[in-house]
Amino acid sequence: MTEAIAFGIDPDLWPCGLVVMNETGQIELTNATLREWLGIDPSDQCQSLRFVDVLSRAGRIYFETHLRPLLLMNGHFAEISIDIERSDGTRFGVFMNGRATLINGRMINAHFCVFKNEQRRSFERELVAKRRESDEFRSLVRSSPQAIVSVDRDLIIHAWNPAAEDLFGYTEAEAIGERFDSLLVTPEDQETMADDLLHIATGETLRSEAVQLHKDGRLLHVEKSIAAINDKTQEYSGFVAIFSDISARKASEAKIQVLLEEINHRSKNLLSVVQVIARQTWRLYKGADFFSAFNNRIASLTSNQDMLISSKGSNVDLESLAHAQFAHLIDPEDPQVVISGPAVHLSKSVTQAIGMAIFELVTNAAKYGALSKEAGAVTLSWKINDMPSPMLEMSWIETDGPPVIVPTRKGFGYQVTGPLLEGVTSGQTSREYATEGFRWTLKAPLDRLTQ
Amino acid sequence: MTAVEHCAVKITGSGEKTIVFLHGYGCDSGMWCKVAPAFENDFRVITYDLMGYGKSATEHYDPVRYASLDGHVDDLVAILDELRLKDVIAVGHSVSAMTIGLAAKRRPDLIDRLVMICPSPSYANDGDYVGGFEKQDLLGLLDILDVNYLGWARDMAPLIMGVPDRPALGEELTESFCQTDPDIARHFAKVTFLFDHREDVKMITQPTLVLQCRDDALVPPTVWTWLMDNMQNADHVILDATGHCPHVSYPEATTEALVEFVRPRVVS
Repeated sequence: MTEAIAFGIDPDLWPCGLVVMNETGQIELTNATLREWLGIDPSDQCQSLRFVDVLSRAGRIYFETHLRPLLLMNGHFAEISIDIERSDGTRFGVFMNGRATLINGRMINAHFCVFKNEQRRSFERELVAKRRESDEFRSLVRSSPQAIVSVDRDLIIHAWNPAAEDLFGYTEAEAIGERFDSLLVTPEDQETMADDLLHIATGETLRSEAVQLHKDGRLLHVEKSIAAINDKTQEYSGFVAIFSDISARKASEAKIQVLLEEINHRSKNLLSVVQVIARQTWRLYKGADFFSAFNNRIASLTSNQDMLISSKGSNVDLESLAHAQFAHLIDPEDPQVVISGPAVHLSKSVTQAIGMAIFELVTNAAKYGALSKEAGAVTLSWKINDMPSPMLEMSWIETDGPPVIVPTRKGFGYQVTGPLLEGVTSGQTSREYATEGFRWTLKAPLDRLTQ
Repeated sequence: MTAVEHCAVKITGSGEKTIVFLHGYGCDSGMWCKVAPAFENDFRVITYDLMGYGKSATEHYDPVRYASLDGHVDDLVAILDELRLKDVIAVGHSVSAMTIGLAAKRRPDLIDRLVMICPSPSYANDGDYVGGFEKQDLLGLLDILDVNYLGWARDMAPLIMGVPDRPALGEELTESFCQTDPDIARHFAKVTFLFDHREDVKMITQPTLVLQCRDDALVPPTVWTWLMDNMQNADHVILDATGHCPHVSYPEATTEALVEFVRPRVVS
């Protein structure tokens, strides 16, 4: 230091720590400021210490893996934030600059100056915490199973996560920069959306089920949640929208609704069938005979229902299937009912559908049609028409029943004897509300029924 | 893209035998500039940048692939296979001493001798084993990396990749020395300092030179002793050098020890 003092510069007066390190890493000189910070006797030049000894342990690794190589290769480094550690283990943060004296690539010594930066350090920590937080947040958004879209006040899309790519079909690159409303909102919803935005801007979070557009034009059922983003001055600066796909839930809700209607229809039907059974049985049997006949008919109704409902149907002959649908109402030899046709061995897949259709026809006939009257009769017959390819032609003809009333609505019964049956058999059905009695036909390719 | 291109492999010198140099944690293959040229007269010399460092194709840095040293071992094996090299001498500094050890174990046909410079199989203290650091110290390094980007800014990445035909390139490259994408530096720091390779180094059977510095803040003498006691076929040389990068600060002494080891053995 003598030389420096000779120039009138006393390093001890400088408000920063100064250190000179020799080639081997030992400390050669320190100034008083640094020694004071380190809590070291002012007269001790710290020459027994290596420079790394005044760094934290993590700092030593950083120094040896980055800073010393930098000094050797580049001759200097600057603005390094690092911790200095006192012998008692306490630390303080500094900014450090370093410069090496290199001769032929060999480091003769290195000069460091350090500035305490405790106050800046807390700010720095805050920045690091913010960065980590935003990294975490980013990965949260990226990995979210919900589509997350952020939109500015001009409705321009700024963020579009992978789940949004999956849900709406647009890639991130395609979506960013586009208008939210033109990409996702259906024409019908444009007006509501403008209204919604006014609410959002006031700080409301909107949650609702909605229909949005997919890239390919189809409509998506989604649950959405939209909330405002406010800038630092609490001004509205856009919104973030979160969507989850509820089309599966919507489909199952619709399915449940159909099932409920079906259950309702069937229970009402079954109850009226039971009424019909009671009435008809009472006509033929009295006293103890009534109960046993009634029980038998109810039992046969139950077993037929079991067979029809169970999806594990078995191959059944069409004639016995048809008989089974009447068993609960009338004796097979009852002249009211004529069942005739050639032997047709139905495959499992169609047994249920054909059985249910016949049961539906029987039930209707017993409730409102020919079988509700003693004189009425039903003929269920079928034949095979070989031209041009084998077709089953089945017909249901009611005669001598009450006046025929054309139903005003198409209920579940219509589905079972119409579209559902057509779907399963690849066939065609027809119905005719003729004055002399209701008629129904089914024409279906035989190979679809017997496979 | 081949591994040779990914890792910016540089081949110089000529000779029957090949020496491949792997830089350690922190900087890049520029670290070898004072040592590698000494071998160019007698050997084919290969240096390259570990994926994520220097001029490697950092856009291919896959955190899953490089979540352990295995990804770097895969790269070394791929480079040697692509160049159809066998029986090379592998020189690895610091963490790369473990990489070459793992590669030598996996593919003994590729590497017939190893030089480990300042190796530590595990930096963390563990029971009787004194690696020199508590886990907390090692995690503290991540905090330092978080606030020191060494001049790195994402805008600078193209500069660091190097644009040919630019006169100022040499200068820029010197300036870019040690600059690394902070996310990669952080990730590789974990791989380097938190893994334990003690069981792996026990399995190396090829002749190995272990070079240590007499005073290395990262590798205390307890680690030398552990390596001496546990390696099967290693010569241990303690250089009269300080620090963790003797090939940069003491290139002559380092070169001399290397030459001694790689010189064809003469039967006396």
